[in-house]
Amino acid sequence: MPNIKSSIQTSLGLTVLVMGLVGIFLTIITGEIYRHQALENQRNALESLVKLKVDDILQDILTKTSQLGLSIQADRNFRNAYQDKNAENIQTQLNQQFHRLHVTLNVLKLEKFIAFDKNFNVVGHSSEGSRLFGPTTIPCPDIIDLALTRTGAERIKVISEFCLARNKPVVSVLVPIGGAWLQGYLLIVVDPTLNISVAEKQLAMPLKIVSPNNAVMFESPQWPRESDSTFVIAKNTLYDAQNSPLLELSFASDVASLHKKLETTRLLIIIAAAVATLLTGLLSLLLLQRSALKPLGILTKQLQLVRQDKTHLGERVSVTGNIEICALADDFNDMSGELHILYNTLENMAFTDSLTGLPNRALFYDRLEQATQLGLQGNAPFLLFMLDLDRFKYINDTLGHHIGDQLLQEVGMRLQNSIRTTDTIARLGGDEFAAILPTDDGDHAGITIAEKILKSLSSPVIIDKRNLTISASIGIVRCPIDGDDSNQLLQRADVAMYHAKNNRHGYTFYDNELDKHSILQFNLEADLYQAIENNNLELYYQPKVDLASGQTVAVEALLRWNHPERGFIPPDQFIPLAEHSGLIHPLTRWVINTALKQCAEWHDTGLKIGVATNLSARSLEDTQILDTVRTALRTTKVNPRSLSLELTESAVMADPNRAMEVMSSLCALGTHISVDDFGTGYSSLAYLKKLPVSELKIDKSFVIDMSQDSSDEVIVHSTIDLAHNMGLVVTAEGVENQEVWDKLCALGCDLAQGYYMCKPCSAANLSKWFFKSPWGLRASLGKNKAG
Amino acid sequence: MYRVPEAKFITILFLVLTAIPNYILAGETPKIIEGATTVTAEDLIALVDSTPNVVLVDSRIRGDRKQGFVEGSISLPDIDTNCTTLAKNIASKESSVLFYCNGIKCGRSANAIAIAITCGYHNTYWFRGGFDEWQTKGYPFLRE
Repeated sequence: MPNIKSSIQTSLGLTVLVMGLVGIFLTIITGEIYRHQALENQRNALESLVKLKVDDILQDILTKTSQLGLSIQADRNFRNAYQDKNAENIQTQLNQQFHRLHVTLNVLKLEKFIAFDKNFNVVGHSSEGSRLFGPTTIPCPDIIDLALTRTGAERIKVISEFCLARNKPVVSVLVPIGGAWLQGYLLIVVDPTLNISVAEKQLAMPLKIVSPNNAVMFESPQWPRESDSTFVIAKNTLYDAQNSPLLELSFASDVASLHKKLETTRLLIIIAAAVATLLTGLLSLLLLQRSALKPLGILTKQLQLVRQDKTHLGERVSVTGNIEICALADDFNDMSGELHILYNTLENMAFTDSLTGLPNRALFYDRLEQATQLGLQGNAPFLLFMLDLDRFKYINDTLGHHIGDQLLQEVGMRLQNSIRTTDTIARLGGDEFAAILPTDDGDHAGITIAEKILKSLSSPVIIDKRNLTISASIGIVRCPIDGDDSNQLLQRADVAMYHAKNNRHGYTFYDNELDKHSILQFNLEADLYQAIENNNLELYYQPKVDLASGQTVAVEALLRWNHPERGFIPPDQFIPLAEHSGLIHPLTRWVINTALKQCAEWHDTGLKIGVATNLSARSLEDTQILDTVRTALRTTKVNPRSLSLELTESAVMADPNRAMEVMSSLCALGTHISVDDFGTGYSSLAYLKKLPVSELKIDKSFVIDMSQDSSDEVIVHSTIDLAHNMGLVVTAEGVENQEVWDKLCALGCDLAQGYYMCKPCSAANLSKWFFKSPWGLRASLGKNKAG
Repeated sequence: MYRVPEAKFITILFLVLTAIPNYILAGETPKIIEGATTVTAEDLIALVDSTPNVVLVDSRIRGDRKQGFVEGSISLPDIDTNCTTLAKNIASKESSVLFYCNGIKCGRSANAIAIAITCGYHNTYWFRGGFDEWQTKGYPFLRE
């Protein structure tokens, strides 16, 4: 069967239409049968009528003929002639009858008279009348045979016969002569056609009389043509005593009006049937509409609604209609309810962070998209917070994921409690959280909430009896001020967040300036990775000169990145990037290896100088750092005492315990540890004392201006004193002129580093510098020789 | 004054009614007439056959005869029947004479027979069924 799609309404409509057509067809057929039946009935009625009429006529013929016969035999003249047995006179008497009233008025059409004696011997006959019958011929002799069989009183009764004589139907009547005084018989032969044809007028129907051999004996001028169907032909056949047909009488009845009436009736019936079919069809459709189609429509509509918007799941649809439809609707409702629950569960799973129970990244992006669109319309400004825990990776790596997970749960809870109910906070992944905060208040609300968040995170988190101190960095963007699409907002929030993290500001609002530094940061990350892999980085070295002897005793290795497209990128731009992305660890390994290789080369050429490399705060979290240093030293065979590892003050102070642990291990290898950028942080000097530090480097900000700024000089002075008291070597950075050099000499500083002596330069350039500078090779070699 | 009891009255009425012959209540003539032979149509024909000079007397009035009559009968209405008129039509008192009228409800032939018997005719036949029986049985008749 072809797969034709059509609506139920169409199918039902077609079915009803087909049924209607079948109904009308049946009506027409039935009408046709009834019409035929009606005509048949009409014919039957006509035939009955005709038969009655013909019988009447035949009876009339018999009556009249026998009356005629009886009156003739009673006639005195005939009786005389008969009793005289005078055939001639009898003939005369009988011939007279052909001129009498009954003949001249067409009452009877006489054919022949024959007079018999009692024994049926002919005693006389008429000579007029039909020529068909000869003088002695007895038409229909059967009647004589019949009469001969009679006895007694029967013999005086009148008998008659309808018969065919010489192919001519005739009526023979035999009357007794003399009544009870029976003397003989008189046979009268008449032609009934004349009398029968009168019926045409009496019945007002054209008549046709046909003999058994199909000879037309009479036909009305009005007899219809064969093809005329407006006539009904009623036939009546007359039979003789032996039941052989004698005459066939056909009467034609004009049934045009009946036809017309039947046609009209048929038309009316068809119209009625059509109207009834139409009404039934409409009624059926209406009923179906009410009981099935409408409820189905409601269900379909609900399905469409659900398809468009899943929140309509679980809505109950109430329908009235057939039992099946109601059952369907109930099942639909039940299923919708179950799907609603299932959908909600799935949605929760899809849009909730399983660890913290907060919305996840997908849901957050969705909300952000909506909020951004509203925000851009100007009616609903909001703030986007991007929050990242500081040093979370370190906690995860050192304490394990289960601690990290518990910490994230606690953080999630604290964050949730810090924001308002109208805000959305989500965990985007790892230690990254984000929040949407609708506000008209702009910066002020941002500051309030950011501080509230930071405060909530400031109290230590206790997990497994451990006190974990955490902090976070928050980047804040304002929609629509800071961006016009959600991606841009997210990126800029990231930028602000990195800035906050790098500068340890806690939180930072985005501004365009930040972007300039951070533009294409993500590309840089990839490029940096490539640079490490392809050895595209370079180490520059800056000499550390002994103030007392004026000789270079060591160099500080400084990382340089010459980007193939963007040129020189300063370390303070890409180091935070590396720290954030985790590239800092391979980078540190590369620096240590390269510096030690270079150092080994110098040592081979006789330059016995030390090398210092910087360690990032993140390096303290690197569990591999100890192996890295140990392996590099072993590979290059450089004396550990020639290696100095510089840590910034803030790096040390961020997690003093960890710093202590790592520094002790490194120190145990035999390397020197120095504190870099001293004076910029908040070092606890008492704490510094506990560390295995051998050198302290005064930040260049104090040194550069110390010749002009007396307070700087005081700081430098006291630092040198303090360090010396603790048994530390002091290096001053940022020595740019003779004046400072001299002052440092005067203050008893141990080592100096700065442009005054030498800018950081490549290993090759530095090798040249060694040979020509007063602080260079000569001195070193000399010292070496002296040593 | 005294009242005749109702039951007694009904009994008298019953006795009176049962005493009246059925043919009187039905409007019919008696089945037989003392001194005459009651005949049927067939008897009539047989009578004519055996006694051709029998006289058939039609006792009906003229108007009734117009409907038809048995061929060979003479018209002598009962009202005109007396010894004189009878003698005029009948050869002798020994002659066979048959009387008929319309039918069983017609009393004219019975009257005429009674008169004829009184006049001394003793071969009288009464065709009680009359013209009605004749016609009904399909025997030929004449009209004037």
